[in-house]
Parts: sequence; structure tokens; C-alpha cells
Amino acid sequence: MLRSQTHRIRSSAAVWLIAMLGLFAFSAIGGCHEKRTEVPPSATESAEIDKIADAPPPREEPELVILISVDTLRADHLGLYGHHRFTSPSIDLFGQEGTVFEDASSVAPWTLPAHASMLTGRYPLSHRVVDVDRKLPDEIPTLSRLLGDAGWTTAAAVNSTWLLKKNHEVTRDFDHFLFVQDVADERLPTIAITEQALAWVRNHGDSDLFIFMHYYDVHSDYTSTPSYENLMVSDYAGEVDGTTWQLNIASMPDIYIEKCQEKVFAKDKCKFGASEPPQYVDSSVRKIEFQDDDLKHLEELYDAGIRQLDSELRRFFEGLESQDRLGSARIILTSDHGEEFSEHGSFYHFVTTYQEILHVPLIFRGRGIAAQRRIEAPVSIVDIVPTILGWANIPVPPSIEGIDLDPFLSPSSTEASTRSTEETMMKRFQYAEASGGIQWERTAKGLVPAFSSIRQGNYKWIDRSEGWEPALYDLASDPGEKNDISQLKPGIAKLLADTLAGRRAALDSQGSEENIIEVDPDEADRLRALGYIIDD
Amino acid sequence: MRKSTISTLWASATGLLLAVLLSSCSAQDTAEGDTPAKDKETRQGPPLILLISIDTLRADHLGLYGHHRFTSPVLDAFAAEGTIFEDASSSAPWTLPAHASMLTGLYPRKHRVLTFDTALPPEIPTLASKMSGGGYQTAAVVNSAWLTKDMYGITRDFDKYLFVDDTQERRAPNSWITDQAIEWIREARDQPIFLFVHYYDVHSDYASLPQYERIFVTPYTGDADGTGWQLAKASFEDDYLALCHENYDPAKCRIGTLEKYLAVDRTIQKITFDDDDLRHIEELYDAGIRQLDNELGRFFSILESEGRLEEALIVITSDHGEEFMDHGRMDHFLTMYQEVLRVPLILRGPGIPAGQRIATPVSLVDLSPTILSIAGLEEKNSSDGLDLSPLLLGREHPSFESRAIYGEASGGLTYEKMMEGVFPIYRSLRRGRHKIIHDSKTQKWLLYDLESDPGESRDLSEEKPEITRRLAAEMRERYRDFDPTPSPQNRVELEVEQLERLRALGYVP
Repeated sequence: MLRSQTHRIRSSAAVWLIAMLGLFAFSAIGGCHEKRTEVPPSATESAEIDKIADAPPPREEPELVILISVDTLRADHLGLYGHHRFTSPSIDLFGQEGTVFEDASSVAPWTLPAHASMLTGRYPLSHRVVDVDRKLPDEIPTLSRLLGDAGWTTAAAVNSTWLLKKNHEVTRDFDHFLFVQDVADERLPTIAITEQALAWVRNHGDSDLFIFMHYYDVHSDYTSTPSYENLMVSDYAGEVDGTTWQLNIASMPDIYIEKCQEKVFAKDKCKFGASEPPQYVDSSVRKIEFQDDDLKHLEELYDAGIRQLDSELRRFFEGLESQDRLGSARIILTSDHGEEFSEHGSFYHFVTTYQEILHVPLIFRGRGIAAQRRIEAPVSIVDIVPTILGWANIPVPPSIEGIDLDPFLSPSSTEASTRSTEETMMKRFQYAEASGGIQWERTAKGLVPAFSSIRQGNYKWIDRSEGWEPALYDLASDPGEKNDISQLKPGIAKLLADTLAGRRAALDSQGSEENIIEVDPDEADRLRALGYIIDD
Repeated sequence: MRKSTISTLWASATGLLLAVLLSSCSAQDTAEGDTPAKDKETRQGPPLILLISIDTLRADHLGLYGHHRFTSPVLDAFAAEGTIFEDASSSAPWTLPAHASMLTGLYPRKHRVLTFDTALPPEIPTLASKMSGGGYQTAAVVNSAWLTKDMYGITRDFDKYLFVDDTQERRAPNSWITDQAIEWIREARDQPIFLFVHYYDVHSDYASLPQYERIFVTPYTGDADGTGWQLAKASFEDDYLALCHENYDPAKCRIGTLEKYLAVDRTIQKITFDDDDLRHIEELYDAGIRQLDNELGRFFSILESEGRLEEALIVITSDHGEEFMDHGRMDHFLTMYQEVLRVPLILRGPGIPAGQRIATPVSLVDLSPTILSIAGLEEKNSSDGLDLSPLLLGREHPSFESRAIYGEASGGLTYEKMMEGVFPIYRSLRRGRHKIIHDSKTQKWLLYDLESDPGESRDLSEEKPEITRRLAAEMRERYRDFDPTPSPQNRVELEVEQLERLRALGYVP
């Protein structure tokens, strides 16, 4: 049984081919529609899928839960979420064999708070890691601690400075901590994450395992090896190069650049990049106006990085298969946030909470998880923790704000049985908090707004710090968030604004300052290199 | 923060290679009818023939041979565009005799380079001399004392020769070997060139740069460090230790150089490795492979950027594998088990079918006749090996079925002269799936069925007495009147310095 399931990934080439032919035929006949059409599985294929899905989990096998976070991966740049470039053959297949959440949201526009949420099941105001100088308070339980207390062995294979055990402590409770080297700006795929994870699973095979894996490859600089760039990048003669530096300059308010150039701001406030050599927003900086062909090039570079990462994930899945662990594992693939390509005037990520930032992939595959299923209900990355705790039969602490997704995942669930969970999801409030605007406020007050947003069902209220107008969007009719309907729907606007304000008041008042940390100079440099301004 | 030079190089190397490999598919399809073996007389050989020997590279530690760590992205991609021999054997368990076989097409029994003190006899013709005679300019870049031109003569017939100092202990990849090879390929622009390149990077000490170790090395708190000395300590013969403990003789009981040696006295005990130690050691070894793989990527991408990759015949192999306690020892030198004898063998180039895997057992002695055949040259003096061209063309050939494949020149022959009976002399003979191994110390014959038991864990000598008797008789016949003593004119007198260099490699004493 396991064999037959694992075999499906190995026979991926054939499946891709079929999927590709299907896609070509579809686009040739019908063009691109809003709603994606799935390639129907053959009769035997779906029979096999049903059989796999219905099989009871083999008890003797220890648990293996794998949470893969691909940093900065926009959902809509993946094939299975409808992207027009062929960025994700392996993830598409992985999605076909599991349950895909079409409307999953992150909770923050940057790596640190989003991962803190992913690993605690709380929104940022609750876990309080809302700024670059915050750490996770000791009393907040993490997924790894809860699993560890229940006898699981846990590991984090990560390569971001934000996710070090020390400093921000988001990963403090993992038993094993594997490999950290920031590699966001490297061309090569981060094979060390894959290799370390595979070795760890191999070496700890007898116990229940949870491993959190973090890939930084898709993050800017948008670099990948030429073989992947060749697949995606068309002729281009401009000066856009996909570096974080350029993306940052393109997103900076003009007045900030002016004040830096006129030395109104101290030099440190205008420093980006690592110390060797640091990059300053000084007289050498010229704001680039991105034209259509620049944007296209930028997205092609970004997509090439996704394609490279996709290959690396396939290698990971194959490695698990060769250990006979793919069939029995439960694998979750998601991201901490998306990326902006000027949909609302800026690039990169850090400040805004529009859908290009919040909409992330969320895919489950494996033991006890239905295949060939797509869920439309709005869910969040805070839902991952209670779902995993459910698998482990660990009671979910009431302070956790996420909701167990198992009703959507279970192969035996029916439309009727998921309806109540769907309704819950439509009614709940989702938040996006910890905008990098908070940090801008400290560095250069009044130049860049701090965003926060609240969502219920398809309505999303975006609030910005004083001086900027809030807005209400209906994501069902306006997924690009172009039309503010707060005047048309004052009742909804008020409900969301009040709820958000109430939450803020409640949590801010109980927020302590004890989780403020000193960012050491090395880390500050490293983070500057990633495009975050750190005010020393 | 910008990329380091190394990673940039790597990136371009890998990328270019893959791009080339992808683009070359169709060209190879159409060229299939035009094979080197068909019309030797009229056909010119490839203008560039490159034989790359990666010292101490176990076949089963490469991705293309099924390894579970991602050690060889470049070689995997390279091999996918060429032909892989799945079952290639070396002729000997250490560098000197194995390379002598590679470069003469003869088994050690015949080329006579059996011990530390034997040079290749002048009357033995070499592949290099034949290639020279056929109009090739020949060149060798090596970095092992065993492969020096003057001392052992293995590389004596290469027109150009460069010895790069031993680097098996260094962490950094031997990029100098690559650069030198590239330089000569450039110089020989208008003349066909046969180039032999030897990398020592994978050999112990298992040391590589941190960025490669980081990929594979998992958390570890033990004492294993991947140095040759430790490997030696883990592999001591019990009676060698006893001998040195009872009667310490510096001539026999010192490992290392005169300045820095390990005195195998009473304070020295055999060390044992547990599973964690072994895992750590293999991770270190694999990091070295990954680093070397990257260096090959750099090599290939430079060849490609100069338009030389597609016209080149490239042969990649190793002189022997490495032991990780598969049969109770580390390192390599004495035994003839598959972990030592099985080596990678990959050919890629014009007329070599892509994506082909050949299961027929072959040997390093086959390389010389094969390279000569592809170069369009006649093999005048008979080789112990067979021209692999028929296999490359997808044809089974009866001569491959019937022949024996040998493993000989065990390091035990060298020790035997100093300490009779202390170290075992291993020999092996293989026909098809059956392999018989003789251990001089136990006087045992071990029979293995490599098809059902590739790890050689089940001795079948009692279950299959008939096969055992037949193969044992054959081996006895082969070594009747066998004397490994070099003739006086071929004896190598090792100077102190040379001896030190060899000692530093962990060869005892």
C-alpha cells in the first residue's frame, strides 16, 4: 500500500507529461479562465488514490511530520495555483496527491513574525514577536515544546538568521538544530537543508519525528543557476537584476531617499547591506522606475528561483521515498509570505498586507490526508499547529488561535461533514500584524505606514498607521484589492475596524517590554543584507 | 553581500554543464550510426581524450550508482549524457598497481608493479606510448607520489608530465590540477591530445572546505576525525600490534614521517568505531566527493566555454574504493572485497550512447584497449583487457561472458617481506556472478554470489564446493611460480624523503 503511494512520485515524469499536455490543450482551446480546471485522473488512477486515502494508517510506523516553509513563495506563482509559467512540476504533483488550500493566508509580511506564528499557532500580537528587536517570550508554548513533552523528537533545518535558536528564540525548543547560513542571495539551491533533513530522518527513524525545514532560495536576490534561468528568462536589455538592493530602492519613499541624500538622516538610518561593503542610500542612489519589461524580467528571475527550488523539493521527496518514509509521512508545504511586484506600488515584502503578501501556498500530503482535494475555505498558517497537535493526540492549549484543519484533510470526510468547519472558517477573524512599518516608524517616522489587516470571509479591512486611509476590500469580486468599498459597506467596515481596534487594545495593554532584545551587530549586518533597515 | 567566488564558479559550472547536456541530446541521436569501432581505418579519433582518475572513489557513494547522499550532481548529469558501467572493477586495492593497470591494460601479475619497490619494467608498453605513436600529444597531471615519472615509471611515456604535490590531506579542492589540464588542452589546439588527470582530493584525510562539510555532516560528538592515522589505528592487525607491543622495532612500528610519526608502541591500542563514528566518517568522505564533483563541474564548464566539451571523449573512473568496516577494516590496501574493487566507470563523448547503463562486468584493464579503439588505433601488443566498444554499441559479446576478472597486488605483498605472515595477502578471481577470494593469513577460500549478495556477507564456499574448487584451482594455477620480488633492474630504492611521503599516507610501515 505504501509502496504504491510512494511509487506515484517516482512515476512523476509521466504524470507531468500528461498534465502538461492537458494544460496545453486547455489553454489552446479555452484560454485562461478564472477557475482552474483539473486534469481528471484516469479511472484506475482515482481508484488507486481512493484506496490509498481510505487505508487506515499503519500503526506500527512511527509518525513523521514534516513542515516545509519556502520563504517568500507567492501562492499564485505556482502551477497548482494557476500560474502561467511552468514553475512547479514537483509541487503540482505533490498537490495532486494531497489536499490543497486555495485560500491560505499568512499573518505578517516578513520572515520572523510569520514563522513565529507558524510555529506557535498564534497571530503576531499574541506571540509578541512583532519587531526586529523582539524575541518569543518564554511563557509562550511552541509546537516543538508541546511535541517534545509528548515524547516526540524534533528538529529544525533552517537557513535564516531570523530563525536562529538564540536571538529571537522562535526555534528555541527544537531538540536538534541543523545548519544555519543565510543563503537568500546565493544562486545555488540550498541542498544542505535537504541533505540535513534526510540524514536526520534516517538517523532518528525509531521515534515520532517532527522536522521543520526552511528554504531561503526563492527570497531575493532572485538568483538561480543558469539552467533554471534559461527556462524562464526571456531576452531583456534593461538594468533590473533582481537584487534586494534594487527592490528596496524601488520601494523607498522618495522623501526618505531625499533626506538620506541631504544627510538629514544620520548615516546609520540610511544603511543597507552587510558591512563588507555596506550599501548606503547616498548620492549614488538613483531611483529606478520599473517599466513593464523590467517587471516581466523581475518576475522571470523570481520564477526561475521557484523552479530551482521545486527541483530541490523533488529531490527531497525522492530521498524520503528511498528511505521508505514518503508514504507514511505527513508533509505540509507552505510559505511565510508572498512578494510584491508593484501591485500596490512597491516591491519585496515587509510593510504591506495585501494579498500578494498574505496569500501563501498551503498543501498537505501523506498519511491520513485526502488526495486530489482542493479546499476553498479561508484558512491561515496559524492553523498548522493545532492540526499537527491533533495528529499527535495532544490537547490544543486554549491560547492557540488557529483551528484544526483535520476535518478538511480526512479522506473519509464528506461535503456535509466539512460544512460546519467551512462556516467556522468563514466567520472567524484572521489578522495580519507586525508590519515592518512599525520599524520604519521608529527609524523614519511618518514615511512608511504600518499595516495591519483583519479579514472575515471575503471581506478584508486594511488599516494603516495614522495619516494613511484605511480601506475595505471584497476579495471575492476584487481579489487584486483595487476598489475600496468602505463607503458602500459601512457596517462591515465598522465591524472589522472595531474588532481590530479591540484586539489591539486588549493585547497592547497586556504586552510587556520584556521580550525586547539587543540585536547584535553581526546579525544586524546580516539582516541589512536582506534589505531590512536596522537602526542601531 | 555578494556571492563568494567559489559559489559563482560553481553556479556557472553546473548551469553551463546542464545546459550543454540538455542541448546535446539531439546531436547524439543523429550521430549514433557513426561509431568509432565501425570504420577505424578511415575515422579520426576524437581530438581530445581525457582520462580522469579520482583516487579512492567508491562507486556506490555516487548518486548515479544509487547513493543516498547527494554527493555528485555534476557527475550524475555528466553520466546521464554518457554510458555508465555499473559493474567495473579495479585490479588492485591501492593506487600504484591499479593505475599501472589503467595505463597499461595489464593486470598486476603481468605489469609486475606489485610492491612499494617495483618500477614498471621498461619493456612493458603503455597506453601513453601507443597514443603518442598514433599521433596524439600525451600529457599527465598527477598528484600522487605513486604516479611520479621517475620513481615508478607509470607515467614515463607521457610527452608532458606534471607532478603536483600530494594534496590528499588538504581541505581545498585541487583546482590547480584542473587549471593545468585546461592550459595544456589550450596549448594543444591544433593537435589531438590524450590527457590523464589524477585527483587525490577524496582520499583520506577526509577533509574538505566547510561549505561542503556543512551539507552532509550532521551533529556529532565523538572523536572520529577522518584522518588517515585514525583509519590505520582502526584497522590494525592484532598480531601486528602484538608484535610491536612485544618487541618495538622502529623500522616496522612507525607510521608517518620522520618528524611526525605514530609510534605503534604499548601506548597504542586498536580503536573501534561505533555506528555514530562510522556515519560521521562517511559524511566527511562524502563531503570530499561533493567538493571534487564541484571541481569537475568547473572543469567541464571551462571545456564547454572553449568549445571543447562536445568533441571530447571523457572517461571517468577511480583506482579503487574505500572500506568503512564493511569487512572489519577501514581505508584500503589489503582486501579484495567489492567496497574496494568496485569503481565508477563513465564514458561520455562523440559516438558514446547517452543514457545507457551496462551491467556486464568489466575491469580497469579494459580501458587501454577501449581508448585505443576509440582513437582509431590498433592494439598491437595484446592487453589483458577487452575493447569495450561492442558493449558501448549495445552488443553483448561472448568474450565478456567467459573471461575472468582479477584483483591482485594486495598491499600484503609489501608487508610480507618485512613481517612474514603478519598481514594477509588477498587475491580475488571473478567469473560472472561468482567471486572467489583467497586470504593468505587464514588460508581460507571465500566464495560470493555478487548477484544475490553484492555486499559479500555470505560465504558460499561450503554450499557450492564445485564452483569453489574450480575457481580455486584456477587461481592456484595463476599464481603457481608467482614471485613478487622485482628484478634487480626494476627495483626502486626509496629515498628517505620518498618513503616519508608514502608513510604520511598511512601505509605501514
